[in-house]
Amino acid sequence: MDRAELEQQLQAFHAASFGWALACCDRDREEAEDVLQTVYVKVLDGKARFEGRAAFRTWLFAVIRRTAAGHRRTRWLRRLRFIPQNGDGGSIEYDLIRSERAAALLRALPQLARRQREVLELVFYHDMTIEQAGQTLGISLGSARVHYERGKKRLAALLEES
Amino acid sequence: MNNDLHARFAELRDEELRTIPPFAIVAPASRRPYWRRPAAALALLLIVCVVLAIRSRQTSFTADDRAAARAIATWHPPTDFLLRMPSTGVSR
Repeated sequence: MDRAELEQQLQAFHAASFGWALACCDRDREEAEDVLQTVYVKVLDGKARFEGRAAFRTWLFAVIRRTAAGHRRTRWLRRLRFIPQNGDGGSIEYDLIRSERAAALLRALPQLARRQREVLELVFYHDMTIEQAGQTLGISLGSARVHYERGKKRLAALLEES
Repeated sequence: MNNDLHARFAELRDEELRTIPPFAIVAPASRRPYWRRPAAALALLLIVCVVLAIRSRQTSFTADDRAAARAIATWHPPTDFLLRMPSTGVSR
């Protein structure tokens, strides 16, 4: 895939990628933008190569997830070394959400285990199959199914409580 | 349960993706300046030229020079026998 094609694909999935970056960055919009920018640099500069083993979106989401994890690690290390960070804390924009049902979902999601949350986001938010979600997360179909079932039960319970 | 979750996530998606940063704002920084590759190639070429120039300036020895060097290396002074000890050769 040449650069122009890559740009076209990235543009086509831009909205979905931003949604997934938000999920990977615990709904921190600034962080999500940073992560997405890093991902685009990686993809367009060839540091992350699409080799066609999975669908483009599945591969791109996996790159976004890995990059977000890298950003989280960097933040954690900076926090350990007491380096002040811009926009650390407080940039999570729950206030932008006007729908009460969506807001309740946002409050419940952080209470799930990360893997469960990720599988549910990929299946319900991005309309992926459980298999595609597993590929994105680099886990087997069986394990993705377990995370999906457990996550769904826990999320339903949390939403009923609220 | 699935329908309810689908509906909730769809609402969340609609809300969140109402205000996404435009692709053009996120992507431009990813474009590597076009001059970088030619500049790197030029730098490499320059290094190769410098190395070749230095190599060509190095002194080259003729066969006579090499023969003279070998003769000097194998030369022994006439007084060399004075340094010989009676035990020379035994310890070897």
